[in-house]
Amino acid sequence: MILAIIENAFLSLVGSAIPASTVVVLAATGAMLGERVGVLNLGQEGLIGIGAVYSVIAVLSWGVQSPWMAMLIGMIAAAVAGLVFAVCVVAFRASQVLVGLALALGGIGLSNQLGTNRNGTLIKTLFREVNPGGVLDNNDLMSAFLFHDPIVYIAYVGLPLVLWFVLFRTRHGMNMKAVGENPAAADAVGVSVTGWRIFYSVLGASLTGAAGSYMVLAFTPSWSPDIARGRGWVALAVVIFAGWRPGWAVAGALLYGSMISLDTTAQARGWGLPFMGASDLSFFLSMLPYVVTLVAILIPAGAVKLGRRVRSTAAPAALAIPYAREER
Amino acid sequence: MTTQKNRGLFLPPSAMVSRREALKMGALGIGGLAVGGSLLAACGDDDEDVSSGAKDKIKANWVYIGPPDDNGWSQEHDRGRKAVVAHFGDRVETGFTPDIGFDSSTSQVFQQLVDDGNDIIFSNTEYSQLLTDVADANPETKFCEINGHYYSDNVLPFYLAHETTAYLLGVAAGHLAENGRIGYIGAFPTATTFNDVNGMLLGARSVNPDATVETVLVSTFFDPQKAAQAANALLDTGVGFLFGVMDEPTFLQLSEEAGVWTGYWNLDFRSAAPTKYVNNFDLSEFGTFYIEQCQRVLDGTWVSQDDVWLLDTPLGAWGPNVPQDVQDAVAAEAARIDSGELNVYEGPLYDNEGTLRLAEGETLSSLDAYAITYPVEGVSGVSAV
Repeated sequence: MILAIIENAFLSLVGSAIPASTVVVLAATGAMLGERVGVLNLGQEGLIGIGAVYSVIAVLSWGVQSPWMAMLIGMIAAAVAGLVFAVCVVAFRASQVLVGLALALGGIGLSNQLGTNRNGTLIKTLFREVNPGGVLDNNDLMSAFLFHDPIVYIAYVGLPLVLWFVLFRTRHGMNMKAVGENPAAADAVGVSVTGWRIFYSVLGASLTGAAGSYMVLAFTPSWSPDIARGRGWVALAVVIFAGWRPGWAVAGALLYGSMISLDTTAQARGWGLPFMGASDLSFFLSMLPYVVTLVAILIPAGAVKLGRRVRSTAAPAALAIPYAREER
Repeated sequence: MTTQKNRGLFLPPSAMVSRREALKMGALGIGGLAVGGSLLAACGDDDEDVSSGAKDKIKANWVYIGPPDDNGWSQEHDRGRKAVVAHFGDRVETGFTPDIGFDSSTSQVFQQLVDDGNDIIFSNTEYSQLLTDVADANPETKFCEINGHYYSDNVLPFYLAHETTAYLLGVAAGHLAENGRIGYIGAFPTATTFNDVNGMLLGARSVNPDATVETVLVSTFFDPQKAAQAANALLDTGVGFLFGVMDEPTFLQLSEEAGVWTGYWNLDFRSAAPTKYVNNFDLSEFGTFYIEQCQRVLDGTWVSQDDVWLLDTPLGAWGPNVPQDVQDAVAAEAARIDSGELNVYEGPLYDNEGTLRLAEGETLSSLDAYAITYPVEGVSGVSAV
């Protein structure tokens, strides 16, 4: 009996946290990609909005029938915005913080403007869950990890694996890290710092755009203004928590998503705290994801202080520092 | 760092916003002197005598928390504004100011609207002091604040008597949800939430004595992803009817996919749940209210009152698959409420912590219900404040 309750709660909590965290996983991976080559893009919030709204436009106005194509369009739109950002901060060496904030605010404003008249219109072109086909029914404990849409598997397994392999097992990844850690050295061995930085920050922006597309093509099947609702900022925090390692980003995003799931699941299932009324509990649970995010960021900072794993959790040394060959 | 600030800088949705931005830049320049309003009032439109007497033409503005095409709350208010335009034509010059959140610039918006010569200003959320400070400083301008709790000579709070509507929806849910379990996605533990869940529970219990309402509060009226998670969490527990106060229809579609009956607060949204739609609150009384208030300003007879002005809130159109006998049962209960035979809140009534709130024979009027502070026994997920 108790086991069944625990199993049921686990299914509900994890089963809902996984798709809910996908947005943050994708955005955090995108942000990390740029930061690994030394480009800090604070505009995640805006890029999510741009990716989402262009996917909505693709479906509702351009008649796109496939969620994959709609997501690709969202990614391209975010990549264009990312290119503008990259040209500003890499080619013109503008402050990454300022241009990033401008992209965050501008992206939200632009996407809200483009989304006008499309508010709340339901989208039917959705990613559908993959049915593993008769092997397991959806009451099995494992089914919390199954019965999700394909983007979930790409975001949680495919992308981190590819990124991990490239970063830590290839010469290409060594060069990427060099561009982020010591661009002068990379430059000296013939790596085009400008080219790599622009390429990877644009690629990262397109992944963040995919996060926005995922919101409207799988999770909440309609456009609404300010759709990111702070998830872009959470993604930036998750990158720090993860110490710029792809697998840890997944863990960080899942932690945040679990807290949001805990909020709704605990209330729906009547889990309470003895010293707190249900109304107060709802406020407490709403706060929890952000408190946990904050605490989670302190963990790597604490690790640095204690002298443990400093190498792997520190930020890329040249993060947010524009590179100019003659100034090295 | 609010979005609406930023939105105005790009492509202003209306001229109002650009006025607002211009004001803001001005306010930056003169170091916040704008708040008092007296300086800016001096350079506003030509003053005419607005203290008494009838007028040929008036100016009215609506301040919205969201965009006027949100498929929800603000859209229904804007429908009311359009009813004013249709009714009065040129005699009432209307405008609206969308996406006004809660920060120091909000008071500047109201001050600017006063300076623009608006005779009456409607707000579709409770801005509280952000509105009433400006109202106090400008006694000639009339304000109608929805869900407001501030009463003065030029501020009139108005709201919806929706506990009866929730009761009728609860009756329908009691018939339709075989397990008697109603899920509710709320925002905050306020009277609006209590009247929704209490009405639905009492309505459902009139049909099914074992009915319950399970509430999830998400601390926002508008976060589609959070609403989706709340909806999924409730649907996972097996509720038989899902309702909510969200300003967007995500939970309707999730309900439809799960094959669970559902309904919407603000307007007719049958398209979001074609087969499982039950009904919605009909907010078309906003138009009637706005026309009446504008008429009174035109006639020079506008006065505030000491109580909130509550609007009738009937149910809307039924979803196509709601059986006729359910519709008939709800109509019968509606008739009993209209005749005064039935009151939603009738004692003995306990709150969900076991405290007796209404003794045998006691009832709550709509005005009492407007200030209710507790959920009744049978409601979970929310507690008295």
